[in-house]
Amino acid sequence: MRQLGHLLMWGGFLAAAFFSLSQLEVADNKWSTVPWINYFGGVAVGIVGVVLLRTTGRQLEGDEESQEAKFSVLRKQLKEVSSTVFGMASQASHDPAEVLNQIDDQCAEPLAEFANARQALVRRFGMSVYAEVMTEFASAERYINRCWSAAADGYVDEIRDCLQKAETHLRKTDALIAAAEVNTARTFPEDGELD
Amino acid sequence: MSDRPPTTDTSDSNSGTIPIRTGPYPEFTWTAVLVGWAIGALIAVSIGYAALILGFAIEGSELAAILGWGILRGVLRRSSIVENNINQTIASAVNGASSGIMFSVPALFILSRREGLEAVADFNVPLMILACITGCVLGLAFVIPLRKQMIDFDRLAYPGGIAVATILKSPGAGVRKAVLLLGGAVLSGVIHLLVLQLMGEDPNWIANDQFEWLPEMLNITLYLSVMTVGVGFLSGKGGFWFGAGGFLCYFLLSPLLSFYGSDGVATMVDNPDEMRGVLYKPLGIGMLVGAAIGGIIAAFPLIASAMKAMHNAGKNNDSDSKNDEMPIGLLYAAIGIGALALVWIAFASVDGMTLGRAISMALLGTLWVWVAGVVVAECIGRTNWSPLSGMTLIAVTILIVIAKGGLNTVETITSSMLVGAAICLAISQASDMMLDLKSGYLVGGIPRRQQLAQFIGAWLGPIIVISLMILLNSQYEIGSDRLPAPQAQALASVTEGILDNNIPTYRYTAGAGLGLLLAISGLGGIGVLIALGFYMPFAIALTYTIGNVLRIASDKVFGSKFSHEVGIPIAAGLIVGEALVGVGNAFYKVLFAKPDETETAWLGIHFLSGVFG
Repeated sequence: MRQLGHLLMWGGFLAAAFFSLSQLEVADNKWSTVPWINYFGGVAVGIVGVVLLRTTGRQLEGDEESQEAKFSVLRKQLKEVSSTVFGMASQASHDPAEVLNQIDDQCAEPLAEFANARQALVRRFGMSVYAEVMTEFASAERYINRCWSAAADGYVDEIRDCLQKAETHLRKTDALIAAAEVNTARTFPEDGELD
Repeated sequence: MSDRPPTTDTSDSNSGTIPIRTGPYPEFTWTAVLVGWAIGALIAVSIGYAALILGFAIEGSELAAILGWGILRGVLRRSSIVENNINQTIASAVNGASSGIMFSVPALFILSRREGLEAVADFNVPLMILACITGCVLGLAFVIPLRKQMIDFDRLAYPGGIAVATILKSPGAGVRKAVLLLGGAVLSGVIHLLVLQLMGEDPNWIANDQFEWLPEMLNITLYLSVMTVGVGFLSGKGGFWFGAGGFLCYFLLSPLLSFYGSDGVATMVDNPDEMRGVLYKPLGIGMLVGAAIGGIIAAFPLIASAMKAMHNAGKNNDSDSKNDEMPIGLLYAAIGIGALALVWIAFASVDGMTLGRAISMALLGTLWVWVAGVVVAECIGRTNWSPLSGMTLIAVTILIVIAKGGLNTVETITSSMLVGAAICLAISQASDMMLDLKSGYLVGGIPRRQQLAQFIGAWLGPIIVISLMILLNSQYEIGSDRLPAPQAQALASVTEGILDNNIPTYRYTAGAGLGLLLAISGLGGIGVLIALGFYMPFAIALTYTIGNVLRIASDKVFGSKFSHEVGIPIAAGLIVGEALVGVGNAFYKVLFAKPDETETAWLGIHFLSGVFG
């Protein structure tokens, strides 16, 4: 069905595009340049394709194990970057060169992986939770980036402040995901969970 | 804003490479502001002047970052990456006026040379400057919530922003990355010099010239620009649909039209440039608008969440967010005041203007700034190209349609171009700001400070660039062989076309439907990207696709870490090298190939003596 959706959407789009372009301007009646009945026929086919794509997409998302796998990746990467940042933040003093290396070696990849898997949040919890989680995550990432800049320039007080702020935002990110999971479990309890 | 110097400890860090400093990390300082204004003014004058001769403006962010790096770190011995980020934000905000104004305002001088339209050159200069500044404020206000949506939530690539961030971060990125960045820049600069030397101003390699058996309609032409390859690499697979849009036009629709299109179209397919100008580009403009409207509808939950987050940040007095985000009240105030100012500007623009017509022009203009802001923010985020001219064209069309109902031709042109210039500036500032905010994100800049910096820089550009334009027009005549102003010529021709009802509205409308269809498909960003593929020359899309393919292959074969560690610095270097050689070439042409150098210098002295009495 999904392939049919793609076929109809692209077929409809191409047909409508073709009719939009099939004639040069008709001088005495410009609006008749585009054969509108044919054009809207193409658009209608495209809309049927879009509807099929969206409905089958939703079903696929519900079934796919890969969504679960992506969500696990997301949790794992968050845990990894959090443990590095919490570790750095708990230190009494910070050596800029060491902070720089730690961010490059231990934070950059988990942050990128979390971002790559972020769509799993939309599918699991919806757009609103996604926006809340990404607001906190993006703030955490920005403070980690700022910490990197401060470390490159040697500003140790700023390094400490940024690490603390990144830690706060990472904790909030984790808390929001945990709360969303609890809410989802309450709304859609798994078989036997009610017993 | 403070310039309190940090305390520098003589003892280095353990690894012995980074001196330890205590105290506040300099970011929004007077030094950054003053250097930003100075660099911005220099770039705006240079690029604005070059744009009147060459017909295109050059993105100034990379240049501003490099000059800032040299002045702040090299000359003033400053030591803050985020301070240079503020400096380049201000400088590029000042320069943002050059592309916006040079595309729109000179059209008035060009139109004034037509019989019966002489009076359009007598526009109110202070009002024009005020209109442009108002446009800047509106453009910046509208993109404030878009930052959250497009950078935090959608995580668009903004290749130019990555390039700037790579420059800004180079002091701490280590020797290896610096070498890669520099290597990319040198390679790109040398190749661009060779291309300029061998190909001149038309750097396109047309496959059909070498392989005559290839059908001309396929338009296999490469834009010989390694910068474009770099941009494609930085965009990665996210930019794939841009190239796909071009392939749809020339590999699928053109062959179909050659068989089944009307006689006129079937004959035209063998001339790809004409096909683009007459058919694909107008359809692409409509698609961009439809895709933007569809995108706004589809992304409404995200936009609402972004606004909600900003409201919450404003309410929570203790949160970091309050310090990080621009107050939401300021955003509403800027839009309200901007819209009111635009009403007054439209009303005061010509004698025959009625209040009702002024309100209609200003409100529709403001609404258009929002729609066009979304379009350019997404286009520049996904591909690094902004359809500024197409969006301005639609704005001018809307404004002329409203104005010409009750005004004479001169008044219609003057009022529409005045409000149109404001909208053009708004769109130009919006795209520049989003790009700067991305580099800010990557170096850890505070968004609120960057947004303030953009406001601080944006007002200066219109004053400088409009003064320069009037000075040049009085000396050389804009539109003459000396200052051909090709972009403004195009807008002037289109304006005449609109006045004569000679615009392909039907094609725009059909395109809007197609853009809307793709936007609601749920395939993220596909509508705007395919529309851009229709709108832009296929040569650029093809070269850009090479970069996309290289990134996908690099991620697959060597892993994403390799792409980040090696590929991105090289790609950023490719952008920087070609941009710098492009600026150098523009200077060379301006000084040695067009107006006489001595004459230019005298002109400057005359102008300054006039200003200072």
